[in-house]
Amino acid sequence: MAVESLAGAGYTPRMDGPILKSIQFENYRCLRDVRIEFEPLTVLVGGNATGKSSVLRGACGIQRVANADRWMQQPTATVTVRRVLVGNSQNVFVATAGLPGQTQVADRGVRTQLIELDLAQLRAANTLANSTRLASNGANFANTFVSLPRRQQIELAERFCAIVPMYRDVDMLTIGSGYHTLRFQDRWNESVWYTPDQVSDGTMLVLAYLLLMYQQPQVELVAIEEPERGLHPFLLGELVQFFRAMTRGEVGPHPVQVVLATHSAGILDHIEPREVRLLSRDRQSGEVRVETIDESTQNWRAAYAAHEHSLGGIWLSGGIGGVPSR
Amino acid sequence: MFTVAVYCEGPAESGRGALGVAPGELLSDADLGAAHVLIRRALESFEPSRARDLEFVQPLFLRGAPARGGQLLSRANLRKLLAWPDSKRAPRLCALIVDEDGQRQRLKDLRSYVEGIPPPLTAIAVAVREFESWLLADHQALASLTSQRIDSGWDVETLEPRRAKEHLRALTEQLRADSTVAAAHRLIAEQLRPEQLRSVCPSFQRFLDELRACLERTP
Repeated sequence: MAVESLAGAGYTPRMDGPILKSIQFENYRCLRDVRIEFEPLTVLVGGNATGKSSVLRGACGIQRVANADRWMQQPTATVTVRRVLVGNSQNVFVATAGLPGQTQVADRGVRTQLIELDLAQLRAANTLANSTRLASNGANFANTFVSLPRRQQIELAERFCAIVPMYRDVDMLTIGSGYHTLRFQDRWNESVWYTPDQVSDGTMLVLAYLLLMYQQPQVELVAIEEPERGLHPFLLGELVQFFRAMTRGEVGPHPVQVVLATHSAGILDHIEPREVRLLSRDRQSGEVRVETIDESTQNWRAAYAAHEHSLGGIWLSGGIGGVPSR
Repeated sequence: MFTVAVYCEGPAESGRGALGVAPGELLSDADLGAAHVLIRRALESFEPSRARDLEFVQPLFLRGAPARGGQLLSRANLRKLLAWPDSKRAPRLCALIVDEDGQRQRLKDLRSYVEGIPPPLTAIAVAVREFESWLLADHQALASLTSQRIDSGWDVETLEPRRAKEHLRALTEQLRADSTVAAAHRLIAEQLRPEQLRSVCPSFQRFLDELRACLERTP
């Protein structure tokens, strides 16, 4: 379970701003000396191997590192990940040479969740068990669904069917020997149900993302790897709208900070420029650099207008970074 | 460093294309084409100090790929391609080189399309009828490169559209056998006598005038 649970008893969630304000990485993987600031919704873009996944892990709290996780795999490099949380509370992880590391300062806890869904796991039948939070790879998907109160199952199914209108309901199917799986009812023929291996990747993923809002206890920060996988471009706007609603507390019990890593121009088209972090590697040293968009310049305004306010289009022009280069 | 981004219709002008180089980053010599060579030689003649510091950079892309052919003729595309959103990545100057293709108002249109875009400025060339006409301008250089007798009676700017392409293709058959079209064109651009090109191709002279004017306005 990729869920860090550092919150003390009696903690009351709130989100006047982001829970996680910034992280300073030192010698963690390709993040040799990187500071990154966060918004309630933050989107990381960059070429492959530019540290997006490492930032997601850092956002969710690192518990231990191996030598392979140190800058250039140098065993003597000290890894430091300093998270600054709401109220300037700090959470500092340090791993000196040869040691797996530990959290040395934890002024305030934060419940986080890393989502890197594995479609095979997501489709897998589960042995019946209570599960109130989705596993990082989605392996307990069926159990998390069935553990919801019936009212929430119905609400989730309705939300899902509004987005993927080929279905009219979602339910559970017991398949013997204590196993059960999800099933999806055909929109046009109510006697036809589909099992997870009969529905599209996007179908499984959309349902899993919607499920996040019903988790108990709800996390304060969720970090999601490539949420666009398998989704039709028309759905990306709805997905971003859903994540934004999570950050505002409009869905779920309280606001949840969301960090996304994406290669999708379609996702970016629904994001505000200030929410984007562009990651790239320095051509000489290989260090990751993180850039933000300066919206105050005449150049930016002219280019943004030329692209008809398509952040995805302007990113694909290559003019703001976050694109591969040799 | 004086950086220039060159937008052209295809590899005949801009070379083989630099795969994997992000917009705004430096191109290597091997990535350059005939258009880059002509611009370098022009700068050497009237701005030698800037020519010494000259580096070419990858132009902006359209939806993740270099813009090609007719994509360079639309107002919407040109404004996307020439409005650099981040001045740190922007070159000092842009050059846009397209074919006239018998469309006499093209230069006027293109100038109106890019009006009001913040710096870097763009020097626009509309080659009459096409870029290959410029490469046919110096018969002597061509004869020397191709070891062929060249009919010196052509007026390269009055050829029918596509005729210059065909002539050049026929003349460079041997050169192309030894390398690529882009490399053959680059070789010709390196050997052309600039004064001959200027006198035979008024459209090239117009480009030089525009390039010089842009340079004067570029700090």
